[in-house]
Amino acid sequence: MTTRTAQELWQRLVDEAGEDLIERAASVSVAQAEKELRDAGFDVKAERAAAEAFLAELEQPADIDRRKEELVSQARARSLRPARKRPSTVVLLAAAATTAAVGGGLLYAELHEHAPPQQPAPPAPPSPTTNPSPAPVESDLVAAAKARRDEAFSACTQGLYSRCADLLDQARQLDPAGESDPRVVQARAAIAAGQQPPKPEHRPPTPRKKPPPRGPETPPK
Amino acid sequence: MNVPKPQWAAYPGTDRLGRALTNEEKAAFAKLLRAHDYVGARLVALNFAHKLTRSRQAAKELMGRVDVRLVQQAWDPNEVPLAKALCRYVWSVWTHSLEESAAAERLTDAYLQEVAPFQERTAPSAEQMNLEEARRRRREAEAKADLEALRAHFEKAKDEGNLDWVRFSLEEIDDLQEMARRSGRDVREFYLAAERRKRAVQRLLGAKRGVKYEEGDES
Repeated sequence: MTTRTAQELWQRLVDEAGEDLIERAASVSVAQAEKELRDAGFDVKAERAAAEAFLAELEQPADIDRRKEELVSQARARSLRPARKRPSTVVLLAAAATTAAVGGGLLYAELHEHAPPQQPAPPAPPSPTTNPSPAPVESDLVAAAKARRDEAFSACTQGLYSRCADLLDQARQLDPAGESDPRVVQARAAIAAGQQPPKPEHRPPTPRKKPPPRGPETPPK
Repeated sequence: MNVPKPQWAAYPGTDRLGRALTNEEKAAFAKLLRAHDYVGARLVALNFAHKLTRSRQAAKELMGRVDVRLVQQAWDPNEVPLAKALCRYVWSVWTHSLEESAAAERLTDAYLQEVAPFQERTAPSAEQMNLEEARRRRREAEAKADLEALRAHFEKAKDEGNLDWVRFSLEEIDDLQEMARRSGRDVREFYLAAERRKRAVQRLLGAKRGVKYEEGDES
């Protein structure tokens, strides 16, 4: 009478065959395993790096979760603040104007690059006409600052003002002249209208007298 | 003085959770792995994978799948050291590798031929249920073929003890004393047969995956 299936018995045999091998393999020390791997032609350093990368991946929050956490923490921070005064109509209008401009974010930036600003002396990143012989290092700094500013504008359009402010601050360290770029000015205004300044060192440490308008992350309309 | 070992919370695995890990869970799992020298344990497991596959590339690919298993399956560090858990996954992934890839290929073919034209149906179709049944039958047929190959090996080697062991095992007689009584053999023959059987299965598994082991170097 055959009651056990071939599949069940084969699996049992496979498990049995693996028992000793697993036991022996797992009892090898890390040093011995490294030696054997090296002898077999493995790049042990690279294998260690691969293992580290796996751990780092686990430790790194997923982008979408990170953004969600950022928004949640900002919303929580706001909910803990004292009730805000209703902003004046002037502030609301100014905020609406500036955030609408920043809300265009990348599109505005794109247009801005193709159509030079109307201002007589635009403090844009140095160009051959304004800075005929920029040092290579300086141009690198300006390029790095531009990348951060572009990212900052994108963050502002998503309502991530804290991130936007951080990036603008980083860009200012790299390229102080770019701080007077109209887009940066508008983004700074949007940050001021949209939330408390993220870094106290850029503002007086006294309590804010003019709280931002209501609405946690969405720019006023 | 007995110093109690630190107790670690068992990792449940995403299969049991039925969802992906949250950021907190991922961080906690990474911490647990670091505490158990994951990097070193993975090298031990990679060494094992290389001994099984005899190929650096195949061993690396195997370890990629082992990492996935590690996240999917439960692991209790109080019960099983990490290196051993990883080596178990190596063995499991390696022994199922052919079966999984072949099954996946066949299922895809079957799906395209049979199920796809009816995919607008909402309830599980008869085709899908038939597919499961066909898969089960195919696995059974493959296992039968593996057992036949094993029997052929035992016959060639005149290993009567293991031929009896296979026959009794299929009849769900697992007690070696009972096997000895029924076969009229000395029970020690069945104990000794186990080592030969393990080596034979290891060689069969290797041969199916294009790996030829020399005498005594299965591991």
